[in-house]
Amino acid sequence: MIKIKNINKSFGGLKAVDGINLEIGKGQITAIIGPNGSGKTTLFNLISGIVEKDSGSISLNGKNISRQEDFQRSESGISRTFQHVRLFKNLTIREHFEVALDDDKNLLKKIFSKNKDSGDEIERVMRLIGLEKNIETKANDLSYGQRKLLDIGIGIVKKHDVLMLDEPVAGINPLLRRKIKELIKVLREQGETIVIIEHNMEFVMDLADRVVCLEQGNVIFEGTAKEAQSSKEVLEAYLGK
Amino acid sequence: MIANYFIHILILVGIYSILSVSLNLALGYTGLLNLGHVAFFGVGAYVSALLNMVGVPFIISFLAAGVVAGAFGLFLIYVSKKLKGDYLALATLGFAFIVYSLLLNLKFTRGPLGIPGIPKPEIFGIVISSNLSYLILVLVIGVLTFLFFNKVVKSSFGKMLGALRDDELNLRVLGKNTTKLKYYSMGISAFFAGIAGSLFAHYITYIDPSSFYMSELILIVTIVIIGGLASIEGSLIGAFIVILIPEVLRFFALPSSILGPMRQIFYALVLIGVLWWRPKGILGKVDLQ
Ligand SMILES: Nc1ncnc2c1ncn2[C@@H]1O[C@H](COP(=O)(O)OP(=O)(O)OP(=O)(O)O)[C@@H](O)[C@H]1O
Ligand SMILES: [Mg+2]
Repeated sequence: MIKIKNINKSFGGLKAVDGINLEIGKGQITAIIGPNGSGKTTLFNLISGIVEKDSGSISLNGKNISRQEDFQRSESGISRTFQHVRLFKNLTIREHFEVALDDDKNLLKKIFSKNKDSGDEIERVMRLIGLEKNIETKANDLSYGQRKLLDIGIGIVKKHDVLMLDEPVAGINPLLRRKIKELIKVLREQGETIVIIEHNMEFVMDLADRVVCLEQGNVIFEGTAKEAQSSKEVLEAYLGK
Repeated sequence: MIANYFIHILILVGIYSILSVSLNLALGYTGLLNLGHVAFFGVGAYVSALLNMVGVPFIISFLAAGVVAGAFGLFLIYVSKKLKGDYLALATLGFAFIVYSLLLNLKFTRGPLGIPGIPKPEIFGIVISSNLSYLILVLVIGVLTFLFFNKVVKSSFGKMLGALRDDELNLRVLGKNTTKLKYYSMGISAFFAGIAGSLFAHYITYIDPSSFYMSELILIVTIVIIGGLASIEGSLIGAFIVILIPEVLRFFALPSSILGPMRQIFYALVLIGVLWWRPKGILGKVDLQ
């Protein structure tokens, strides 16, 4: 699905991503773990194209996407969320979904054509993510947890081949954590390919098919969740040597 | 006499409504901090006047005013597409200065002398010479403009503009070409400022660069802010308030040396008052920050 070849990114003298090679398998859940500042988010930014790589290449379904702009990569099939939720604060929940669902590139046509009714699709995803809120609510008026849910929701409804979630449960209460975990399991059953960044090993244990651990921009471990738990490298990365 | 005076005021309200509604598309709906709108107004006025005076029919001059102003809008986005917020505001303000000094220094715009004797519009053989008929012309174009913008902002295109205003990066990540959206938004906005300029030029029949400079810029931005960002109806109300209220001053038979500065003070007071009463403007729907 996604093939990353020897990708590099430095900020000034800091090597945030230092020659990473990685393959993301179709229909799998891949968890990216690693301590703070190990380059997890930067890797997401490189894949989605919002940060320019220094060198290396990224392909999606066999197509090289490294030279595409961010919005083109999104069109190619990348869906992502942000660690710090980004929403359109003056838009309602419904408008968020409409914007995400709308993949007609002819902008001027949109002015004169009738707005598509995506009520059914919106209802379906609202039930899926379990966001119990009137869809005419503005994003500004949502709680932190509700924003996280909506953010995941628009990532899901946007047409994609791979869904990348950057710390979807960070700062969230245990109840909602469990709810989001269940949601990710449901998505897996639907055949989604998911990459999830998560600090907490325990959260990804019964979720991930594969675990990748980063440290200082390098992959220091790759294997199953079970192997990760007993891996010396992972332990050291988290606890220090 | 009084009737004619009111018709005159209504014509100005109509022209400024078109101008401020179109600015609101860029400023309020798209979040482009554009302080160069007055330049499109000026470009439209000059293009229409100069073309019409060398024999081009009014309708074509009028449309050309919109098209050329629209092209200036596209150019402005082209040079500033990487800029955001305050930086975009500064760049667009600079653009307004540049256009002003061009109007002031080019030969064919006749510099500070301006262009006198601009003909009244002639549409299919009918000359719009009386103020009443001019009001009808402005109303027809104003209503069409209003209906068009209403359609734009309620369409899915309009929703995209709102998303662009709130978080450009997030919209790109959702697969939308935000640069293209900016071109469209600014192109449409500038087009309508251009036709407002045409209506202004053929009504006043005399234009010079000073009609398209700082005080006009402040006037238009004040209208949009008082009426409220991202509200078309707000901009209409704003145009009424800002054009009408200072006229009340006239009834106090003040000498013109006092009337001028009084007007400016009045604008400032109205602006402060409205924003104190309603921080988002009268019908404003969005926060830019
Ligand atoms: N735009 C940027 N400019 C400069 N430095 C950056 C930038 N983005 C990331 N970095 C640096 O790169 C390193 C990796 O950051 P990154 O956000 O990828 O870490 P992370 O693994 O996601 O950490 P966390 O778990 O805390 O989210 C950090 O040292 C960070 O300070
Ligand atoms: Mg991170």
